[in-house]
Amino acid sequence: MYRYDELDQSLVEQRSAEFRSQVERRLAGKISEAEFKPLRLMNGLYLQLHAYMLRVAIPYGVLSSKQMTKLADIADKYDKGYGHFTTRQNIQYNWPKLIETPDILDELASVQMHAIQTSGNCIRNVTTDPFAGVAADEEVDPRPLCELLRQWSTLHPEFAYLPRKFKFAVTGSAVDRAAIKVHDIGLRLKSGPNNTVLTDIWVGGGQGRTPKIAQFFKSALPIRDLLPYLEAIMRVYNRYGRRDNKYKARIKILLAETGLETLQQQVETEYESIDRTAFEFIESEYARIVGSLIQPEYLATPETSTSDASTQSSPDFKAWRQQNVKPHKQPGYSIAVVSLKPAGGIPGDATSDQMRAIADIAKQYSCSELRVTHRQNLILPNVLESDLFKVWESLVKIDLAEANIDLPSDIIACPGLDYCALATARSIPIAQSVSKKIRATEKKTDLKGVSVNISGCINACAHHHVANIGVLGLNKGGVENYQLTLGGRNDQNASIGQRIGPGVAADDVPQAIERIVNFYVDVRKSDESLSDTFDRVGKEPFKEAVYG
Amino acid sequence: MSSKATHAIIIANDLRTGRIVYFTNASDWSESVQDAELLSSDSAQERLAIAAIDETNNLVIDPNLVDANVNAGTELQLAEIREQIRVSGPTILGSNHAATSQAA
Ligand code: SF4
Repeated sequence: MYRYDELDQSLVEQRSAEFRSQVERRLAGKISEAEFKPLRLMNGLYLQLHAYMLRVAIPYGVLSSKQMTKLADIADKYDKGYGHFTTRQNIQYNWPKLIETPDILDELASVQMHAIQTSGNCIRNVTTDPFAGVAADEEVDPRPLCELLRQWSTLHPEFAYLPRKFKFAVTGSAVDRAAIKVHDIGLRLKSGPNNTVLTDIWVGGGQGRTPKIAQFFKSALPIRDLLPYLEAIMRVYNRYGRRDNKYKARIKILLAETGLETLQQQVETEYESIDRTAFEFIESEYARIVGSLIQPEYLATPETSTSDASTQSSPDFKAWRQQNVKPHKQPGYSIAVVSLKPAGGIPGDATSDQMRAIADIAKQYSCSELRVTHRQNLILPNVLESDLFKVWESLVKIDLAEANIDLPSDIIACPGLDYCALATARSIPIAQSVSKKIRATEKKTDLKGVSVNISGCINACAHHHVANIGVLGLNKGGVENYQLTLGGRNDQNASIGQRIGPGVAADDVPQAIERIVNFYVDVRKSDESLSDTFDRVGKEPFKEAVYG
Repeated sequence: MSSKATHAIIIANDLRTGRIVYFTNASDWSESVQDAELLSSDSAQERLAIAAIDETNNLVIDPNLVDANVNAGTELQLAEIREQIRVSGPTILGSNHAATSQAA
């Protein structure tokens, strides 16, 4: 993990004090709601259907046990005893009171956490591969760059009022687990000659009402040139991005309207004009961050397996190990993915007791470190293989041992109409019904990598466009109705799913998804994913399977 | 208030807590929907104007009229699903955690 310094600590404390004074002035009537709203949004505080909602940043999804324990304590003291982990690797509280929010921010600041830039038209929390730094297939650890981006973009005065929100994602592996091609800017790190790091840049991806896959924009930039180049992109976007229509304000629209070559030219011209002396520190700062990462003290020759006979005889453990444990770069270690998707549960939610317990498990078995994934799960990134059984036993005790990672019941669902003021339909109860139904099927079938994502409106916070099976909740004449899309992908071969037919009623969604999965299982060839099968056989047979 | 509904009620969010509150016939705010004043089309706009004063007084945010029907003379039924959920709380099934309801 990155070790925050005094500057970071003082920044979050000052910001918290500033917000306390803004809240006091609001409550005293010295500022109106219209004046206060942008200020509270800059501190992650929304007003939703039932209450305020506070979104807390988890920079690039990395959490310590201490921070997770603090999040649990906040859930108990100021909320209703649970938190919701989001597709931006953040956490949301659904019931905070305005009058207590300054106290919450103080508590967060005590563990170097905050809610800055979790809302508003600024550069949002940078996201990355949840296996960053530990993945067996990783080429470059993306965390130092994420930290550099965090420092550069935090309270950057030039980019506080962009045309629209702006999202970065970073990966350092050929297999993209950070969905970089559906972000405003996606960065792919590669190793260059002489231990250097080079970055490929993708621009203009996004979802919402106009889903776009990012276009390849710039190749192999060394670290010393990267921030000035990103600054040039941001400046061009800030200057030319549309402000007349919020639905056309993202950089994906600027790219579509301007054209790739012209936009690249504009960025190059801006890049040439940037005063590079202000960026001379980058290489040394990058090296400093690399040096500041607290690296786990891995055992040189760890035991690779446990001799406990009970592990051999537990089919549930075997299933969990097969589905939820991923290869680690360090021999003898594993990455354990903790599913926040118990069958019939609320995707991404964890109770305060679960949060505290998992913080303890991380402390005992994973070097006190946790990650949040954009699929709304948690990760124990550094588990000795010989400890896996004990970890699984501990997870069983807190109902977080569902062996369903990357299976259809590992559903991404946004808060939808149960919480969100922008929603057109519910997502969570649909996800609950789908996972209950499909879990039985998937236990009997050898399924690989089928994603189901459910959004409660066209804003697509659950990334339904790039799911193998996407579900979009709409309101049709006062009744919830769900559009189904198939064939999306969010990896290195990212693609937008296609609508397969008319929307279905809420009660019919679980059956429709089961039919899609069953049809896929019937016609797939060897290792084909659902989206591969969809590409091969086309829309009609799937449509027939659902509606026929 | 639309022509499809028999009545309306006024809903807002409490500034301090954010919780849903209902405008009462005592021109006050209550967290209980039972206390909501049932408004006819004749009185709705006039009462909304009075409720809106409390927005200026920094007590509530965004007071607005919500369509409601009174069934069998007693039961209040809100016309839109969005407002039904606002009033009754999240509709989450069973739930893997406690206390998601509005009342909790
Ligand atoms: S997709 Fe729509 S309903 Fe879901 S969280 Fe985003 S804005 Fe809200």
